Formats: sequence, structure tokens, C-alpha cells
Amino acid sequence: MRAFEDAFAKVISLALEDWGMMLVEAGENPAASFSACEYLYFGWTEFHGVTNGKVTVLCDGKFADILCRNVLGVDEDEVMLESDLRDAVRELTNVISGNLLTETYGEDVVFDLMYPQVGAVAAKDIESFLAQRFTYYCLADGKPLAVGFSRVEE
Amino acid sequence: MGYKILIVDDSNIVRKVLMKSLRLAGLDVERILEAENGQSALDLLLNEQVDLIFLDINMPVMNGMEFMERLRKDPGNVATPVIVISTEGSRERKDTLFEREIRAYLRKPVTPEILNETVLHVLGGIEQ
Repeated sequence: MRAFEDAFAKVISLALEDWGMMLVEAGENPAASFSACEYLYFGWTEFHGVTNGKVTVLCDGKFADILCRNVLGVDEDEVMLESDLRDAVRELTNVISGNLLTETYGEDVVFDLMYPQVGAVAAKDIESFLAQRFTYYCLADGKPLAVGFSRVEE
Repeated sequence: MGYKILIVDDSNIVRKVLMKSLRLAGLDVERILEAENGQSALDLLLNEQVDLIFLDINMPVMNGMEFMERLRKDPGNVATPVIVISTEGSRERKDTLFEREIRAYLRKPVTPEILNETVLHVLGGIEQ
């Protein structure tokens, strides 16, 4: 479990600090943080190989906005397109899932990673998302982000 | 005449960032073409000859693995340089891609510094 948490932390730091240029810090009380968000994005992708499962990403709409601006180098006064925000969350899901699988299972294991999807999530579904066995929660530039990892047999 | 470069990635923001990095790298770029999957890229290559291709692997419609297989069967693109940029980390996939003569494999996320260094290295061997 500890090794898994370390893998999550390493991959999230790589994705958000190196790529997203965001400051990552530990967060507390994820349910309350997500409940206070006006809009949430939900990204997910399935993987198939020695084990099958899903990697999920739950984030605040403002988080997606900051990530997208940082990656593209766009000023705050420019309005971001909804399609670009979804694209940023999709790419984040892709980067996290691919790196998390390699970090966890090593380079000798081959996985087929499905094309990531992005949608909205209802407030009532937040708790069940956070109740997954392997969920990592943090704040990036003060905005909540949770990454879940589930295997089919679990 | 500058370089003609094709970027194949389903992500619009990744394509935009790559384009920006290439232009900032000081390369003599004549034109940058974009495709959002392998099939669109193959269609585009029917009428265009490019000097370098950036390729993602995990894409809808046609992924990067299948694209590479088909690209190398095209007599006009047997040796076109390809740089793969992907989250795929398995050694087996990388070996397969190098067997299909890719020039470099970069793991996402890629910093502009590593990208520039790799592009300069790959294009260094191409005469204009």
C-alpha cells in the first residue's frame, strides 16, 4: 500500500509539477473540498494486460483552467475554450495512467491503455469515487485533485 | 527551404505546445502539419512529403503502433524520421517501435529542453 502511495505521489508530481507547472501539496478532507467546487471534471481510462482495471481522475473546474493555461502559456484575461479544458483533463489522465502503470508494474509488463474519456460527475457520486481502495488526494495550486486506481478483480 | 514537420496527436493542446516549442527552438520551419490520429496522418501523407513526424501512441481511430507499421510499407516513407512521444512505458512496445525505425522515443510529459535537444539531434542528420 505504501509503495502504491509512493508511485501515485511520484507520478502526480511528474504530471503536475513538471508538465502542468503547478504546486502540489497534501490535502485534507477531500469530500468537503470537492463539494465546494462549482464544476468538476471526471477523466478515466481502462487498461488491459496482466491485470485489468481503470484509472480515474477527479478535478475541480478551476484546476483544469489553471492546468490548461500553464501548459499552453495563456494569460489569465484570455477565455479558455471548454474543449481545451476537457482536452487538458484527458491528456492529464493519459499521462498519469501510463506513468502509473509503468511505475507500479515495471517496464517489462505490457498494457493496452484505452483512449481516455472526460465527462462531468454528479455531486452524489463524489463519495463513492473517494471510497475506492486506491485513491490519492492532493491540492495543486490550492485546487483539489483525486486519482483513483481500481482493478477488475477487486 | 525550411523543414516540413507533421505532428500526430489526438490532443489539441499537445499539438499546440509542440508547435510553439518547435518555433521557439529557432529551427528553420517552413510548415507544421497536424493530424489527430494515425489514419488522418496517412491520408495527409498521400499528398505531402514531410521531413519529420512527431507521433503519439494512444489515439482513437488508428493508434501510433498501427500507423508506424503502415507508414513503413509506403515506399515514400520508408525512412521518414519519426520521434515518438508517448506515456507508454513498456520495453516491448519500445523495441517494436525501434524495429520500425523510429529515431527517438520520448516519454510524456516532455520538457521543451529535451524536445529541442532531440529534434536538433534527429534533424542534424537530414540534409536540406
